[in-house]
Amino acid sequence: MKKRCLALLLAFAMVFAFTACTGNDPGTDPGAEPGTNPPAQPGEMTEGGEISVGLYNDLDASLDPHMSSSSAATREILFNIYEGLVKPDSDGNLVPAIAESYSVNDGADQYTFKLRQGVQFHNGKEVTADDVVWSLSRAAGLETGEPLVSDVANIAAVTKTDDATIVIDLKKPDTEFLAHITTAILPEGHDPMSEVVGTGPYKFVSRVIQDNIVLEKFDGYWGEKAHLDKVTLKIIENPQTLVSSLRSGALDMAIRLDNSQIATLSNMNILEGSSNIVQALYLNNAVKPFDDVRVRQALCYAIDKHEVIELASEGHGSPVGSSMFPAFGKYFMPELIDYYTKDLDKARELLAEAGYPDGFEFTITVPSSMQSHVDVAQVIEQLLQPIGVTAKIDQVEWATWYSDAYQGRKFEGTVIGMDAHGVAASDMLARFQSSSAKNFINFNSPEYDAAYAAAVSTTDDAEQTRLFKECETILTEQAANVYIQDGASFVAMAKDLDGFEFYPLYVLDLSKIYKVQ
Amino acid sequence: MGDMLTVKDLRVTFLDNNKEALHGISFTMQEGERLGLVGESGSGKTVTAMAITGLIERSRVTVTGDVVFEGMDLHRCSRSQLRSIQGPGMGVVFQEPMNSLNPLIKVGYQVEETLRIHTKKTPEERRKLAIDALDRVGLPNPDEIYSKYPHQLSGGQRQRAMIAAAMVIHPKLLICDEPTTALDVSVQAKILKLLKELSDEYKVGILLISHDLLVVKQLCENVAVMYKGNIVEQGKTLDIFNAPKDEYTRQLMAAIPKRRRHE
Amino acid sequence: MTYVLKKTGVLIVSLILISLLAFLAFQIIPGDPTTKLLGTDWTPERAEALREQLGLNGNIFARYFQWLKGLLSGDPGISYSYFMPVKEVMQGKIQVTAALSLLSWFLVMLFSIPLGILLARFQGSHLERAGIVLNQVFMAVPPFFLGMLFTYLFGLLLKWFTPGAYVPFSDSFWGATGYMAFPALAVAIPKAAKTAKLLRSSILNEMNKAYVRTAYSRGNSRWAVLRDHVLRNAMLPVITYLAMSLADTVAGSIIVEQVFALPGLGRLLLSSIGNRDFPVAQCIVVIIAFVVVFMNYLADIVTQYVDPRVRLN
Repeated sequence: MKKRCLALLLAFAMVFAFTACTGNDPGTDPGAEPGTNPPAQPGEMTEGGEISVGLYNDLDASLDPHMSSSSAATREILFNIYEGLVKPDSDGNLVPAIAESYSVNDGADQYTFKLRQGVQFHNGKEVTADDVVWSLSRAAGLETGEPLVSDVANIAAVTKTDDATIVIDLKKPDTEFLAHITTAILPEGHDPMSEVVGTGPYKFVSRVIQDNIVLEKFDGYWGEKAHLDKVTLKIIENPQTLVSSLRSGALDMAIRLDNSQIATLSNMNILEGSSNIVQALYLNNAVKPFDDVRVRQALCYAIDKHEVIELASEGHGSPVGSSMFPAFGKYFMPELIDYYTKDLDKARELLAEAGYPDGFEFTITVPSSMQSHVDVAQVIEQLLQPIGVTAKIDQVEWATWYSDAYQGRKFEGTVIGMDAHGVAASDMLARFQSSSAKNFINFNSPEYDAAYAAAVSTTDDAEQTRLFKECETILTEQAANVYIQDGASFVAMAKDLDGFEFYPLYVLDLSKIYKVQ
Repeated sequence: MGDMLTVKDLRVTFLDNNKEALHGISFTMQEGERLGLVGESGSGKTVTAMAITGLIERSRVTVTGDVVFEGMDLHRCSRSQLRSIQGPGMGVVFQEPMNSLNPLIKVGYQVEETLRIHTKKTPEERRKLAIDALDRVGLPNPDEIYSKYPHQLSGGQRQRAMIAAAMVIHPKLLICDEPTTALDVSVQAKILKLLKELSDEYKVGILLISHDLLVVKQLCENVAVMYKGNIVEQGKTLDIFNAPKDEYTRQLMAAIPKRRRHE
Repeated sequence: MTYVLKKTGVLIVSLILISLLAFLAFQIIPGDPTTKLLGTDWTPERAEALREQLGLNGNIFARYFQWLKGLLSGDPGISYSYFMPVKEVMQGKIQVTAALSLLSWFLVMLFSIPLGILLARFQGSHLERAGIVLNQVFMAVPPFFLGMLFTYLFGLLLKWFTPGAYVPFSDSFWGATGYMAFPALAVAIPKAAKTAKLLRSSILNEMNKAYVRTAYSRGNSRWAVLRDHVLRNAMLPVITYLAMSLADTVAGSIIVEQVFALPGLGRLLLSSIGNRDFPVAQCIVVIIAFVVVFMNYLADIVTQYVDPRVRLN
């Protein structure tokens, strides 16, 4: 009993330490050393060992880091195998990786990178400037005209000026370009479909489709080497099976667990982080009645996000007020969280003004496999009843949701989470331009389009931040969606493991994890 | 020759409907005697036969009275004692030759089964005895019949095989429950003739159960007439045929068509 | 002989119909494979190009025949989501599902036949009544629930196996068998209960037949009558059922593979449906359907062989 209390306390300390260091209080110490996450329990760090980590889904067929269609779940594993010129750290800062340093011209349309010497690929070859030029050209589609990675579509030319220097010219100025240059560097002429070769702390060993992926420590890594010798990623789709595998010891670790799953994991250390998503009731702004801003606002007044978080996830999760989550630091606007406070009279009034004094009926489409979104949809259904709005929940298969609701834009409301590819504000905000192909909610605001266009074209950081915040504010004022939270996400780790670090991105950094004695 | 079978005040009550089917019947049979038990259906003659052979499930009936066969009280002995006389003591030939043989087992196996159960004979000896028995009951090509399935035989052949199966171990008593009812008239006579020959040859007693007085007359020297669970009249077959005393026996007699009466 | 020919004809026709249904079913369900393949970079133009590349645009029947032709020549096509031949995607998975199905089928027979006989033998006793109630309960428990129960009971509580730590047969034969015994049991128990019930009533039905009385009249004990006479006859309807239940254990494996994290066809089927990876899903459906139809066919042939009345006429 005593032991359990201690573990709980320590887990608590860990959680607290984590929330203090990612984003919630971004101003404090942006250049924090990677050791900020304190150990969960006192213990001697040891090198070596093997662990098994549970994954919900198989990785994509292609482990080509330039495949634009790669899923977030694949990218977070590839993070350990491939590296770009720069890479994000656990505080959301970009740190030099294959590049040692960089400089940018005043017009923000030319970036110069100095390459680190002695960086090795997993096949033992050293990374040359030619490899970098080839990789970035491939990703940007300079020869084919079809960029593989949309993040680097802005590249106009990559040139090697000497053996250790690369110059990248952009089509149009972009002060956030550094965030996009995490694109993986491959050996020149290499086909990543046939063999997986990167420069990261882990190298790819083998894979059995829909069963496991084996990674091994890369001894020739240029930076701080991985601590574990071998990591086996095991695919277990069934959430209960994942939990029992953690309890049985078949798995040493799993990430992205929810409240109900961690309840029985007394044999594990539990860490709480955030999902780095914006979960909201996304509304199709083009269909009746949501084409009327008053109706959307009425919903915002009726749905108390704090209540939703309390009911759907027992209070775990950070509320958000616009399409930006706390880990984004300076872009995140805490003041928007409670822009709408629960006010049923106001909601009814707005509905009446919009011509719906008796409310209306609509359908919330949710992917059935995503329990946390289904749960939130059910709470919302309850919260809307007092203002006469009847929400019908339609649970659909993920593929159906994706093709019909997301791509076909055939939905009224949907509960889903939106994540960011990188650490640039545009990753979250670009989609709400009226012309964006990803604008699945059909948000249409000339004011927004103008602010966004101004933000991406300015090179002044302070001005850019101000304009992005203006975009966020417009989304909130226009009640584009009913914003809820950045959901809580739990990590379970065997008691003899430590070193896990949360990232503000969809990243699982295996290299920091070590065994304790 | 002493009494082979003594039935005394036999009463059988079925437990499921609590009906008494036999109201205390008594008769005796000597070794080698052929007795006919005659009566209309429901008179209790089959129940009597089943009670004698021990083929009524003991848990389904209450039986009072005695059935003593060769000195053994069949309703008070153990199950294994009872089984030891089933076959070597008394064999049974049933009414329906179609269903009374196992359809999935070869005729030979079924004929020699009593030998397998009750004797220590080798497979070769058993096979020889079975083929002899098949031959003795008048089946052509007994070697072939031995390895045929019941459905490959005609009705008369099947009944001969049934008799061979009962006779192969030379029992003391053969209980024949309507052995010819399901057969053509021409076949009937042949089977009855066969039974008579076997009975004389091997000194086997036959308890023939039939609704047909004429069938009984052809085979049995003695007869007992049953009516509603009682024996109403018994004696020499010819005596009863010529001078039936009981009213029911007279009715039975009257039911026989005139032209068949002197068969 | 004509019987076998006739049955073979029926087998071929049903297989063709099944392949057609499997093909059409996946054309009808909503969701476009290109959405998953292109992910966040989906545009109508790219989707169209990809559809062209994957041959999704042709006439539906022309595509069906092309697929069928490939299937018959042993090439079921290329997986949409893994960009590799379906055969390679399924590599190793068929063995897992086959091993699980066969093991659970073996367990079905191991449990159901003695149990069915015992229930019939002790008909009317308290033992039988208790057995029937218990049997009824087991019949109604779905395999996935048993799977979760076993995981908890035998895995987490008693630690007889480690849930989630399946080792492939190639690494350790007994290790794999030991792990698989539990999912196999989860699949087998409800099926075994159903089979035992069927066998029991089949035996009781046979017990009333005339030949049974004959067998008793020869001095056979109750056991001997059951063993030498009744069982053969009673097994006739059960054989067909057992053959069908092999097909059922394949279906049961699909769910149980999830619960026990076994890398088999079932999990691949579910994920390929989710991903709209039609070539893989169709191929698995055809395999399962083939097992069902083929086992049915085999059951007919075997029943025919066991029953001389059918065989010799």
